[in-house]
This record gives sequence, C-alpha cells and structure tokens, in this order.
Amino acid sequence: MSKIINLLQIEFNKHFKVNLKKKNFLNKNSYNFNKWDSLEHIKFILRIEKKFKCKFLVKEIIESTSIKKIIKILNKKYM
Amino acid sequence: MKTISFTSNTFLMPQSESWKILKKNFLLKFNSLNNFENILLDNNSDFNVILLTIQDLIEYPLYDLITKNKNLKKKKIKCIFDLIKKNLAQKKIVLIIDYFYPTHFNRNIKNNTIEDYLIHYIQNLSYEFKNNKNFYCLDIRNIFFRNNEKYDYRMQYLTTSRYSNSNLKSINIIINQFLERIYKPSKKVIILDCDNTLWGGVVGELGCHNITLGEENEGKAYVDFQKSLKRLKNEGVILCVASKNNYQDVIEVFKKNKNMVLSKEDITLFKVNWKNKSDNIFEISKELNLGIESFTFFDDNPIERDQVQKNLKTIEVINPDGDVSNWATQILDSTNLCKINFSEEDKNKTKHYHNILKFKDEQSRNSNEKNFLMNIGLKAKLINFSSENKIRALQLIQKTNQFNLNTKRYDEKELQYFSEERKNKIYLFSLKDKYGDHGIVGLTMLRQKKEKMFIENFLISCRVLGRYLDSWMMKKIFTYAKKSKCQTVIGKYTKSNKNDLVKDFYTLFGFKKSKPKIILNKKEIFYICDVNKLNLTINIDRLYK
Repeated sequence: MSKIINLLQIEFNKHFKVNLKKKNFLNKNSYNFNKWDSLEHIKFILRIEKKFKCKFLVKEIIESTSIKKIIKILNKKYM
Repeated sequence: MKTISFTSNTFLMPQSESWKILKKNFLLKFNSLNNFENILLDNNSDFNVILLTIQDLIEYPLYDLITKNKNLKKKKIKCIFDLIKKNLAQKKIVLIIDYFYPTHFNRNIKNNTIEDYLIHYIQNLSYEFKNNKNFYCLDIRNIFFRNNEKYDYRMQYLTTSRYSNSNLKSINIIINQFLERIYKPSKKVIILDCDNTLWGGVVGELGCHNITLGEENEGKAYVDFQKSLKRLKNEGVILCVASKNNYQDVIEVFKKNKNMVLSKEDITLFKVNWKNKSDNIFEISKELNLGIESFTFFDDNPIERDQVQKNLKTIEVINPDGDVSNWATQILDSTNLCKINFSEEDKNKTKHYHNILKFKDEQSRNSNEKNFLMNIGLKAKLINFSSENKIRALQLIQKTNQFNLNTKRYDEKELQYFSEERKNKIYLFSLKDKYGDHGIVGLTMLRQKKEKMFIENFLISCRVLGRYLDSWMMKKIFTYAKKSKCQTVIGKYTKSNKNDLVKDFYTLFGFKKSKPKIILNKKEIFYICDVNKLNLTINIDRLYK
C-alpha cells in the first residue's frame, strides 16, 4: 500500500511539475488542483498505466478524479 | 527551420511528449480541429500535413447509404478532397489516411463489403492526384502493423483524440522519416559484400549452384534483399561490389545462378580481390569521380565494418540486423538511400556510369586527348528552365558537390522565385555523345543588374567531366551577356569542403580576381571579365559540332 502511494506521488510530482508533501498530495483531486484538467487527466492516467503496467477500464478512468480513488483502483488491481 | 502545419479531424495532443522527435528539427503548427479551410490561408508552412481518421468522417448509418445507392458526393470527405485539390498547385500536402474501422464495424467476417466500398471510394479520390508532385501519401497502418501497435479503443470514448501516446510516436517517426528523405542529401552508392550478404554461404567453398539463395527458407530472404537493392538501383542508386573472393567465382554466380535477381549489368563496378576493403572503396570513389561521403557500406562482417569506418571516416556504414529476414526492409528504411522524387534520368543512372567507365578506359588508351574528344561526337544543347525539368534542376543543385562553384542549395520555392524575376535566367545544359545520352548535366543561374551579368550559380555533374562542357557553357553565357547588352560578366566562387577542383576555374577563362568578401561566414571571391575578352583555351567549335 505505502509503496503504491510513494510511487504514485513521484509520478504525480513529475507529471504536474510540482513538489507536494505526502499529506497535501493525498488530498488532491481535479477540483482543488488547477493543473488537473480533462486532458491532463488522460495523460496522467496513461502515465500511471505505463508505470504500474496495468490497464484502466474506461469506467475507472472517468471515476478516478482524485488521488484517493486512483489509489483505491490500483490497490484493487494489485490485490 | 522548416515549418509544418497539422490539420486533422482528430485531436492530436500538441503538448504531448510524443511530438518530441519532430520538434527537434521542425517548427510545428497545429490548426484547430477540422479547420481544413485554414490550409488555403496559410502561406508560411513548408508542408501541410492532413491526418484523416475516416471513421469520423462518414455519417452513419452507412448501410442505408450504400443500399439505397446514394452517392457520397456531398459528404464531408468529398469537401476535404476538393479543398486539397484546390491547394495542390501552390502547396505541398502530405495526406495521412487512417482507415481503421469504428468499433461497431469490427468483425472478422467480411460481408457485403461496406468497408471495402469505403476504402475503394477513398482510394479512388486520392488516386486522382497521385501523379501530382506536391502530393504525398503516407501509409500509417503499415507502421502501426510493423511496430506491433494496437489502437487504444478507450481513447475513442474518453477524448476527441483517436490515438494513444505510442500511436502518436509512430506517427512522428513516419513523418520524420519522410521529411528526412526530402531534406537530407541522399547517398549515391552502396558498396556490397558478396558472401553472406548477397547470398548465404561462401561461394569459394560451395560453388555457384550450392549457395543459399532461392525459393527455400533463408534463400528467400536473400532474394528479397536483392529485390530491394534492385529497386534502389532503379531509383538511381549505384550498386558496387567489394568482396574478398576470387573474381571468377563471383562472376560465375552472377552469370549462372538462376536465382540471382541482380544481374551483372546492375552492378557498376566489381572490386573482387584479396586487397583491403577500404583501399578498394577508395579506388571505386576515384573511378566513379564521387566523394566517399556519398557512399554507404553494407557488410555482414563486423570486423570489416569497423575497419572501413576507421579508414574512411565520412562513409556511412549500415549495421545489418542479426537476422537476414529484416534486411530487405532495413535497407529500404534507411532514409539516406530512398528518395521520394526521382526523375527519368535516375532510372538509367547505372547505364550512365557504365558509359563513364568505358569513356575513361578509352581515353586513357588514347594519347592525344583533343583528337579523341573530337571523334566521340559531342553534342551539347541549351535548354530553358521550365516546370518539366524542374526536378532534375533541383537534383543538380542539391547533389552536385565537386564541380559546383557556389554550393548554394536552393530549394523548390527559392528556385521558382529566382526564375520568376524578369532579369534572371536559368539555363540547363544537356550532353550527348558516342557513349550515350547523358541528359541534363549542367546548370547556370544568371542575374542581370544594369550592365553587369552575375553568374549566381554554375555547376556540372561530375559524370561528364573532362569533356570541356564548361567552356561551351561559358561561351553561351557570354553570348547571352552580349545579347542583353552587358559590359562585364562577374563570377563568384564560394569555397566549400568539396569544391577544391574549381578553385581557379574563372581565371582559366581570363577573369580577373577582385578582393574577397566575407558574407555570412563564407568567403566569397568575385571574378570580373570584360564581355569581349573571354579566353577559351581550346577551339570549342571543333569539339562541339
């Protein structure tokens, strides 16, 4: 679990070119973070897919608009 | 930097990292979605790339449309193709069509060929301007197929883009390859090895009938590789063989083995002996009068490749894939070799070079050079620049290195612009003799300014050197200068890495040197001559009847 979060945090910071601490990072979603728009969302998910070597369903991509939801989905895939 | 504009009916994700490859070398401009009319207004781009994903352009239900036998006439695609047609006169258009079926079409069974009808219809449309020189069509499906890529169908539903990042990367590669082919100076010669390159096995041990070549297994791959080479030859690349072997053995294969695709006549020069390969290649370059930098070397043996690369630094060495089955595509993929535009003259190039070698051979046997030249029936012709010989003129400008006084590489637009000025003149020169029709081999660009005639460009293809064509051309230039009432003719020499040969060219004709000027880091030396004081060292009229 913590490994996923760490990896995801690194990818997130790299993708949006920010430097967020863990607590701050976990609270992020597409509403409270300006850079996270619809296009960046797709690009970010594709990036995660590449990193974690998994595939999101269309439904999952649409739903995963916050970090917590992404972690939940990733967790489900690795259980 | 060249500009490329993109127009598409699908979102191409301009900020995506996948465009990195193209962004390195070109300026990219993305038009807004479906804005095909914009191509008309845009005058700054060198290339207009149009990417169409057909599935979005057809209105469904298609089935009704075809069964009721309606035409697609007023549909979107037709409009886009009409637009392209209108623009082709002035603009370079690269069309990429993606025929991938929408998800509700994806069946493995083909029935009633709605899909076929669609593809056939589009092919017919693009076939109309197939022969237009400003029109290029790239095959995107082929590269997806070769890279083992699948469409990411999720993208259809999530975004307006149809392509995933890796799809976009492939598109980048295919466009980049295409542009490299257009802008890079291409190689002229391929040096080939024999054993384990043109065929499998060693001919000295196996004999000419037992080598691996033919209809079976690995032999097929070698045949296909030779087919690729033959195709390159027809596009104007010269094939030479440099191999460590017995000459008799190799010639026997070319003559007697029925599976050989290449014949003896396809190879311009054989250097089959036990000498060092780099020495052999050097000899070939001397005999053909071509610089090493326009050579490509293909050999299966890594030791030979290293040795050649070490001794001849400017040569391009291809590292063949470990597997023979990939060679045929590998050599065609090499962007230095495959050109996109080739003229009629390219097809007969190998023949031309055979003639050159014959000419040289006979020349060396004759002690009196002028007598020899008088007897070979030289005939030159002056041709005005027109749209018909534009490709050849561009080729000469892009590729001539040694007998090129300015080495200024004009591109199509610049050349057109130059020729449209009222007081400018572009002359082309063709040559014929006993050894065959050499076609257009010389070019000069003249610019008149009051009473001065400037020779902006003067070049001759190196395959006809030693025939005093330069004197004949100079004479024509002076007659033209007199006709247009000029007092002086001014020539210009710009030094490049390869044109040492013509360093003193103008002084031979009685031009006087003036002070060198430095323009844009290039040293230019001007030579001046009075219109009546042309000094010809030989009697040109006796050579050229």
